[in-house]
Amino acid sequence: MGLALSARLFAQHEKEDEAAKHPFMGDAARIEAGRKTYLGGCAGCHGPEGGGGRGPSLIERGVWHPMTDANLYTTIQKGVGIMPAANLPEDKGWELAAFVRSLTSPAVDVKAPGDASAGEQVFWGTAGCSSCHRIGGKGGFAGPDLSRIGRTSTLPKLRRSIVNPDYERTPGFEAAKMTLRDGSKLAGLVKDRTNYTVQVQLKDGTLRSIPVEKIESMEIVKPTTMPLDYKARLSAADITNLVSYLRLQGEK
Amino acid sequence: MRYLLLLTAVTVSAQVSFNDIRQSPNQNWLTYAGDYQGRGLSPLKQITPENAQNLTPKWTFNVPKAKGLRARPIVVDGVMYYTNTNSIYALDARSGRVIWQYFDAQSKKESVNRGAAILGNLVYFVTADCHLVALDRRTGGLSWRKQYGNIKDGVFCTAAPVAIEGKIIVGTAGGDEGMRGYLAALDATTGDEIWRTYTVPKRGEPGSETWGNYIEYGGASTWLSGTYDPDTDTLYWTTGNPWPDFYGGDRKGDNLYSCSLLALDGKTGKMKWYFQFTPGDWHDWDAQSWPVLAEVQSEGKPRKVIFHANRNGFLYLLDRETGKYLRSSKLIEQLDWASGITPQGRPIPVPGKDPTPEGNRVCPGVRGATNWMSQSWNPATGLLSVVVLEQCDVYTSSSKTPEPGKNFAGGGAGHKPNDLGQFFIRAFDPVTGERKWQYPMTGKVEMWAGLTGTVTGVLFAGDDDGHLIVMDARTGKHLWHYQTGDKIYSSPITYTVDGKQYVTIANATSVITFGLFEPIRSVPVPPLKIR
Repeated sequence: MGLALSARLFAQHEKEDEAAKHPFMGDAARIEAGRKTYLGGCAGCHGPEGGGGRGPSLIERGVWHPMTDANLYTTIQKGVGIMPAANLPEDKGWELAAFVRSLTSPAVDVKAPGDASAGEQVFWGTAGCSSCHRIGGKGGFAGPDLSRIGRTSTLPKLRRSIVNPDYERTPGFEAAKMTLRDGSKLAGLVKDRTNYTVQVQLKDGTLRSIPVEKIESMEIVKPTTMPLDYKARLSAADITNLVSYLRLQGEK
Repeated sequence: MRYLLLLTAVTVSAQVSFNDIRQSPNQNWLTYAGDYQGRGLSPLKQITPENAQNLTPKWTFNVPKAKGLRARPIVVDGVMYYTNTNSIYALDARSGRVIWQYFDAQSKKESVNRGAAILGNLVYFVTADCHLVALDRRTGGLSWRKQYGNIKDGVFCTAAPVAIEGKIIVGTAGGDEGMRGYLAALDATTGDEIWRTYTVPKRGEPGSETWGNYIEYGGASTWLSGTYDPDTDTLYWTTGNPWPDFYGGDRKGDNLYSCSLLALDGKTGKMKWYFQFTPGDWHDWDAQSWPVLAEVQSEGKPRKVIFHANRNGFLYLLDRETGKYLRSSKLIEQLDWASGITPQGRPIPVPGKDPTPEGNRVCPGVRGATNWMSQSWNPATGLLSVVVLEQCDVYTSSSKTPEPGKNFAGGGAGHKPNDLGQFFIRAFDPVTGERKWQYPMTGKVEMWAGLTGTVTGVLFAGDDDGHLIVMDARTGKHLWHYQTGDKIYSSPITYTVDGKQYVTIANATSVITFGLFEPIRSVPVPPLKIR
C-alpha cells in the first residue's frame, strides 16, 4: 500500500509549483482557518501538529512536498489511497491546502503568532540560547548557527527543536573528547568524521583537522548537548515568542 | 558532562588581519590572486623541479551542480573556501571534506563565480544578483548580505571581492548586454557602501565627449578582481569592452574608460590615472587580465611598474605611479589589427580590420590573446609567464539599433571550422618584451587555465586537454602532468597544512588537490566510545 501510494504521488511531482502559486498560500488568515479545518478532520491520522500517526507526517519534506498547489488541493479534495476525499467547499479546501503547505514552507514565509522582540530577549537573555547559538556573528559555537534558520527550517520544526531538541540532530554537533598519541587532549564538536580524518571545532570556534592515526582514543556523545527541558523551563508564551523571533532570521 | 561546559565559553580566535593579507601567500592563500600584487608566486619550497615528479592526487571535491567552475580557492589555517554560483563551501584543506556550506537561495540570477575574500572572521563572496554576502568563516552563519547592484540595470556579479583595510571592493559584469560599469567599496563590517566609481562618465561629464550614443549603457564592466598597492592605498582595476561590442559606428571616439586600467584611491575611489589599451574597441577586447605590480631596475634606479598582458595582443610596461606608457611588445605572432603602438601608448590601427556585416578575419580572436587566467611573475628569474592564445576570428557587425538587456552585442565573432588556434605558455622578460621560452599546448582551444609559480622554480598550469601540469619556470620544460578528467577554467594555488605543501586546481566540476607522494599506511580505527 505504501509503495503504491508513493508511486502515485511521485507521478504528481511537478516543477512549476512556484509558477502556479494560489493566492491563499502564505496568507496568515487563510492558514489559520485551514488549521481549524485540519484539527477537525485531518489531525486524527496526521497528528495534531502534522507530525504523523496513522497517516504520514506532513511536516517533513516528504514525497508529497514538491506537488503543485493544484495537485495538493486535488489530493485533499479527492483523497489518495486510503485517505478519504475531503470534499470541502472550494475556499475551505484551499485554506486547508495553504495550512498543509505552510507546514513545510520556510518559516520566514509563514506568519506566526507571538512577539518577535520579546523572543529576542528570550534568545539573548533569559533562556541563554546565545551562549551556544550564533546569530549575525554573535553568540557561541556549541550549537548550530541560527543566522538564517528562518529560511532553512519550518515553523513546526523550529518549535520541535526547542521543546524536543534531540528528535532530529543536526549533523556536525556531536561532542567529542579525544586523547592524541602525543598525549594531548582535545574537546570539541565533530564537524565531520571519517575513518581517516576528523574535523573538530574548538570552544572558541577554531577549526582543527586531525588525522585519525594521531588519535589514541576518542569518546563521542551523540545525543544533543542542548538541554532537554526547555518545554518546562520556558512558558508557552516564551516559546511562541522565541519561534516568532527565530522565524525572522534570514529574512533579508 | 564537565567538558561540555568548555564548549559554551566564548573566546576570540585568531582573525585574518589586513597585515596577514599583505603577507599572503605563505602557508595561506588569502586572496583570489594569492597576494595583492597579482604576482602568482608562492614562497613555498617543498615542491621543487627536482621532486615534482613525485606529486600525487590527495583528494577531490566534486562541487554539487558545477558546470564550468571559474573560482580559485582561498585557504586560511587549513580551511579552504571555494565558491560556485550563489554558493560557498568550507573544506578541510588537508582532506577535502566539507566543514560547512552556504547556498544563497534568494539570489535571482545564476552565473559563474570567481572566488571569495576573507578579513577578520568574515568570509565574503558575491551572489550573481549583486549582493555581497558576509559569513562567519567558522560556521558559515550569515552576518549580512548587502545589495550593491541591480540586475534590472543589466548588471550581474561574478568577481572575487578584494579585501583591503576595512573595505571590501566589489566589481560588476554585464558589459556585453548594455549597462554602466562601476567599482564599489563596501564597509567590511557593515556592508554599507563607502564609495562607488563609475567606469563610464555621465553625459556632460569629462570623458563623455568620447562617446556618441548609448553612453548610458556603455559597459566598461569590472568583472575581474584588481590588484592593490597597500603602501599607496591604490587599487589597479581593469575595465571591459564598450557596448555594443562589435559595432562602434554610433559611439565614435575613445569610449572612456572602457578597455582601460584604472588607478583608484582606496579611500575615496577617486581616479588617480587611467591608461586605455584599446580606444574605441570593436572587438570585445576587455582589458580584463592581471595588472601585475612589480619593481624593476630602470636607468640604474628601482622603478615601480605594471606588467599587463592585454587581450588586444600586446604586452605592456607602464609606470605604476603615473600610468605613463613605457613600452610594449607582441604577446602573440598572429596580430594583424594594429601595426604597433605610438610612443604615447596608443595602438596604430591597420585599416580594414573592423567587423563587417559579411565578416572580417582579425587576429587576435574575440577571447583575446590572453584573458582572466593568472600569470606568474618571478623577480628572481625576471620572467613573466603568461598563457596566450594564437587565434584569429571572423568578426561580424550589425548596425541594428541596440536594445540593452536583449543580448544584442552589435554582431559576433568566431573562428572558421578549420581555422582553430593554439594555446601556449610563454615566458617573457617583461622589461624588454623578449620572449624567453614557450610551451605549445595540444587541445581543442576550449579551456582557459592559469599559472602559479613558486620560488623553487616550478610553474603549475592547467593545459587545454584538462591536465594539471608542472613546468620548470626557467626553461619551460615539462616536469609532470595529471589528467583531471574535465576541462579547466581556473588557476592553481598552493598552500600548506601542518607543514605539508599542497597544490589545488579546480576543473569544470571538481576541486582537486595534490601533494608529494607519501605511502598511505594502514590507519587503525582508534578505540571509540560512543554515547
